[in-house]
Amino acid sequence: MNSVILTVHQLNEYVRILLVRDPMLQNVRVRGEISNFKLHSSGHMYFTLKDEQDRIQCVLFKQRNQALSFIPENGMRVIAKGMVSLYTRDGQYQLYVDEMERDGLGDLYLKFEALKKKLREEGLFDAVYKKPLPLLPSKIAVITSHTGAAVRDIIRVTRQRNKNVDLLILPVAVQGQAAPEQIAKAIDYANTRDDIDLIITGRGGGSIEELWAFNEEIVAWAIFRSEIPVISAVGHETDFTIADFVADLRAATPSNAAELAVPETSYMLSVVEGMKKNLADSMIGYLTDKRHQLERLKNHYVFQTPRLLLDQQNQYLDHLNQRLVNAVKTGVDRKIDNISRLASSLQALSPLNVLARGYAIAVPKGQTTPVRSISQLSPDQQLSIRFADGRAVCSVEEINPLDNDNII
Amino acid sequence: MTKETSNDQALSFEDAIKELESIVSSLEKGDATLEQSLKLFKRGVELVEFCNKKLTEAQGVVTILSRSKSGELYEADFETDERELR
Repeated sequence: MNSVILTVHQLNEYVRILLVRDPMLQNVRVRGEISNFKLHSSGHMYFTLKDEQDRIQCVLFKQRNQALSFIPENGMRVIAKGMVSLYTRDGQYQLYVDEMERDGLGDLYLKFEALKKKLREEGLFDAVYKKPLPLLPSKIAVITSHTGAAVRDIIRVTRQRNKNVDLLILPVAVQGQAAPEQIAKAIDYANTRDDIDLIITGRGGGSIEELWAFNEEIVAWAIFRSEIPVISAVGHETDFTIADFVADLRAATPSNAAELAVPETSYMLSVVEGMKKNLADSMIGYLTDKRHQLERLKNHYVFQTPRLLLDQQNQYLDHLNQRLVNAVKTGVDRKIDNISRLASSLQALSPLNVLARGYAIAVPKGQTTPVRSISQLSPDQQLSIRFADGRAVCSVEEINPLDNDNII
Repeated sequence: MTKETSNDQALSFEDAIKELESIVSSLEKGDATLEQSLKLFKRGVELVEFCNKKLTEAQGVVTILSRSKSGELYEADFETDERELR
């Protein structure tokens, strides 16, 4: 078979026309990962899209790439829309990209939501665990990249508000594979020190992948177990990360974190001024109170009329005296009673009473001792007989011993 | 780096404010002796000075945690260190 002999150019041109005539190839969407990314000084972007098996060369011209919502970089998964053609000079077919969007964001979003749900259920976001910030921190640990804008913003705003607060930068990677572990370790490390009373961790704005370290579970747990209060400051106002939910306070931006951490000096000075006034007022109040107490005591009536006090004492003395007299008197009365009782029992025994009952006492005349026996008597002896109501003088006629027959 | 000459070195601003509040409330109660109250007042004045110092002094430093060649951690002045790192 005869075949036409073509120039290289003719061949390439033929293939190019084949390609551009295919309607499908003129409007195609390709999923792949960016590699060999180059931003040429002309403003055009050149890169390779690859998957597990193959690769295709791509170009994204300046007038198109300015509409991109992100800056492409190696390793990024994208969906590129464009037309396939042949770059005849190199004999290489390539994808001329019109539009390009991030791929896999849906996956990240699902991962984010799943972790958020899990940690919420485990209680990491609970309000009861939120620690209050110190009124004025003395030393803040700043856990972020030491080369980023975030650390600059935090230092600047802190200094504007207070010049006495210490800052300790704990430098960490804030994106990439090593970032989550470094951030978590730095939080744990800050907790081993005794001079840190507040932690700020975060980074400046970036793509969702760039912020992803702050969506990792290891960082969430480090924030949760931190005894030192943690402020998260990741990206911009609209960026929310897992770290924001676990942190004791979320700041919209790193600058905002410093604002939340350090109160304005003028405001704090007014607070201290208020305390100073309270202190002076309370001391003046105390002294005034004591002075009033003293006045009251001085004006007490006993100090006004000392005589009254004395009178009162005298009256009391009188009262005591009266009680004493009464007590003695009662005792004496009781004794007198006893004596009269004794006297009446004595009376019963009196010989006069016996005489009244019909007995008589015989006393030899001129003597005082009564006669107790006939043996004391002699005939014609004179006896004085004592009766109850008088005496009679008698003489003894007979003396007869008693024979028990007769009582008289 | 001694910030306070007194033994309040370890005292935080917050603790100072709290102590001040308790001094004020015990003076207001008025159940302390005159001598105790004067002591409390004197302490209160010290605390006010301490707080004012904490707010107005410009002694804050910015340091960065670094690791020496022998592997020990130390705090280096951030501004100077940063230039070397760049």
